[in-house]
Amino acid sequence: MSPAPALLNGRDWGDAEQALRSSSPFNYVVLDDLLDETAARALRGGLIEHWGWRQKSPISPHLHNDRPDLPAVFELADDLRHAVPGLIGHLDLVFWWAIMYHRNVGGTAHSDHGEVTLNLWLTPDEHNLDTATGGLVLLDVKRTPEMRIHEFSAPPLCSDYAARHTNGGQAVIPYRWNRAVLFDSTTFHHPQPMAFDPRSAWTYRLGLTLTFDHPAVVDGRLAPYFAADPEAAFREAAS
Amino acid sequence: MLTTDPVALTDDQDRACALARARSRALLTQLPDVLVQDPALDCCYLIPAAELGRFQTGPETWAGIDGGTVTFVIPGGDAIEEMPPFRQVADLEPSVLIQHRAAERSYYLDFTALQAYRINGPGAGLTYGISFVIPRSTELFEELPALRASVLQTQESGQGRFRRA
Repeated sequence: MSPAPALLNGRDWGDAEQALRSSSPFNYVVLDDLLDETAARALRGGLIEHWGWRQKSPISPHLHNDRPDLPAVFELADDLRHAVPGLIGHLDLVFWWAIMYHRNVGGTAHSDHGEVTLNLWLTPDEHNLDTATGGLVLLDVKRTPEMRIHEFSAPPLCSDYAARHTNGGQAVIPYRWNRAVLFDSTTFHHPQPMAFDPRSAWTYRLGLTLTFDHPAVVDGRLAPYFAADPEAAFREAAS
Repeated sequence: MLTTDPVALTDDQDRACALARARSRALLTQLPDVLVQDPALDCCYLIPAAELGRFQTGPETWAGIDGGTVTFVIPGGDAIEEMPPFRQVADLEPSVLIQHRAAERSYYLDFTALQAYRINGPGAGLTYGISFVIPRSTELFEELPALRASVLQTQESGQGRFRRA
């Protein structure tokens, strides 16, 4: 048993890292009771009360909170980097966001912009009205290094890509309070259908996601989108 | 994340932009009076800063956000909002979510609440601190270059909505 960093419950982090590396083609590990219970509830409350919720885009059905500036998020990222240094100790926290599924509508298959993703669930189990749903599905599809951000994460391109390349393999991780999934960001994934109590923000499915990567790699992927001529920038990057 | 600037600026232009950004940040740390124009209804809403506090968001707010809600961002801090305003469902009554980044607060007015501040016409001659326009649908988003729009429309990942000023 490895000593627990401040926010995290203790576990054998070496086993966790090994599980992620050996679970090809999905490359994931389930981390139950990731956070100390008090810390998990405080993080949940801080997110629900945070000012930054909004609809992310014209097609996104849920509420999105982009980079909520909660100290616990950064503490969690630091603790993880120390807990699994071989996986993410050399990476930075590059993106983090929370999603509140206030219409009980999930999302389509995509992969994340990062090298390693942590997905943490923060709604107590009693609000999950169907325990056979609400979890995460990892697919037997990975993005390739040359794929552009919108190709692996903007629908319908990302979901079409996953549909074309899957051999039908899936790993389904059921929903559970304070359960996290640490996985290879290049693995395509999507939430299961869900049926949470639709009464209020305190009962909606709430998830927090952190992605870790090399900042220079992330900036390199983003740069062409901000160029005066994005298509030309992509061509130049590819040549 | 840092990203490359779309246009190379001269040193003088760069300094002028930095000064303008600094002035803008300083001004908008204070909550301004907000004018929201709704061309579809040929009216506007002038919401005094002193009254916005009544509409500060909390956990009870989030259930009300729907396809008619338009988010407006009062710029502040060191991040530039990349997402133009949009309304997911054009035929729903509009509501507005106003995010004041510098103060890390947001305000939500549903259609009923907005009516208390309604003025017929576009609001020419009114005094206000910042103004926004309620889009009919997603037209402002659609004006973006296709690649830029696509990265803003990513499934769940947070990339792209903000970039550093």
